[in-house]
Amino acid sequence: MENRELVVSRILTAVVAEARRLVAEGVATAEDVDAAMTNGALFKKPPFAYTREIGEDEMNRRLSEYAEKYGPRFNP
Amino acid sequence: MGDLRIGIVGAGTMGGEIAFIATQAGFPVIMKDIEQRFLDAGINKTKQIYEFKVKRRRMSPEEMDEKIRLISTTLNYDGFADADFVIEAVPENLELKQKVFAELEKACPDRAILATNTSALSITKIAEKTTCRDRVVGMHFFNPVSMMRLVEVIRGAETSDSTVDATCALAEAMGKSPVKCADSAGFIVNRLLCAAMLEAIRCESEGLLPRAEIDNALVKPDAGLPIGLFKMADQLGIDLLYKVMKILEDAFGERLAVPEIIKNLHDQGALGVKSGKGFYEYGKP
Ligand SMILES: NC(=O)c1ccc[n+]([C@@H]2O[C@H](COP(=O)([O-])OP(=O)(O)OC[C@H]3O[C@@H](n4cnc5c(N)ncnc54)[C@H](O)[C@@H]3O)[C@@H](O)[C@H]2O)c1
Repeated sequence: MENRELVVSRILTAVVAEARRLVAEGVATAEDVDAAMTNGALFKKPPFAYTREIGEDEMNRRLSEYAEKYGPRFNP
Repeated sequence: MGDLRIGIVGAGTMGGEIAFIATQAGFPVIMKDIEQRFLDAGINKTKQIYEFKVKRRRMSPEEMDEKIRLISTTLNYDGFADADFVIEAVPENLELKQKVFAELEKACPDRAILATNTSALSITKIAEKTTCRDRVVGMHFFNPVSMMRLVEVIRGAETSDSTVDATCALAEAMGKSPVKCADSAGFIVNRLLCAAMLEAIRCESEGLLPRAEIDNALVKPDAGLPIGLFKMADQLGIDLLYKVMKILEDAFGERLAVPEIIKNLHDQGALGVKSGKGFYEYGKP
């Protein structure tokens, strides 16, 4: 993968990993997290919509790969 | 809802913007700060937003004057005795906010809802020095308030359901989209933006791409951010970012720890656009 694509993927995937934790902790619902990132940070690809776009399986695969390569912050 | 009287404490960047959305929705506003020049600056901020609308012919000058007349100002809490809903927007400092909330409890009627616009401090802690914790709530607006639709409505440990509902209703009456969340460090948006920022910093330090190219990549359609993260940090202010990251580090540990580069910029006084230098250079402020 080209560095540019890798950087974009790592940054958006880091947001997905943190967003999953936030939902698991009960801070907010997945739907509300996406609404917040859309209306408060103007993200066109908020974490759960982004996951649907690339596919849940591909996201899980990516999280495991990144967790191994870059550290436990990506743990799915 | 139309006859709610809104108190705003702190006439800075956020206070001036909040006065705009409140008066635009027709609510009378009483604004408090600690010096006349800060009050003047706050009202000016509100006026500038209205003037922009008048220039674009989206509002008549008469309408604007009428809106501005809805705002009164004070250097103490005169006028807060009949406030129904107070929004605090003083600097991001826990002791200061605790003191302001203790003062608000005394100055405001028993029915008043006391909301804080804190970026990342705990609502439960801000309410700690009051005995009306059921009426204390987080109401986190985003800058520029006049353009950003989100309001995070944050429930502290003792915040009541009716307080949360009234806060959501007021946000909607001011044209915003409220999202409810728990009192957890960074709430939703700042926590996720910091996670993104930290990954961008790691990518740069690993030598994958220089920061300007990371920022460029992030605004392309496949990433879909409105602005690059390094640029966003400079606009927000490295001082505020540092405070938010410190709160996240204390809550979540290493994963969201303040990176060396933010600490260094902060210690050098390179606070972003407002100081002429941050991640990028901006000439004299
Ligand atoms: N600027 C942003 O992008 C942003 C976004 C969301 C939330 N916030 C939060 O909003 C709050 C205010 O931020 P800001 O950027 O408007 O700060 P600011 O420094 O522009 O304004 C703060 C104002 O509060 C006044 N003040 C200080 N002590 C006071 C007191 N005891 N009583 C009344 N007024 C007092 C100051 O004189 C100043 O005018 C902070 O908690 C911040 O974290 C800021």
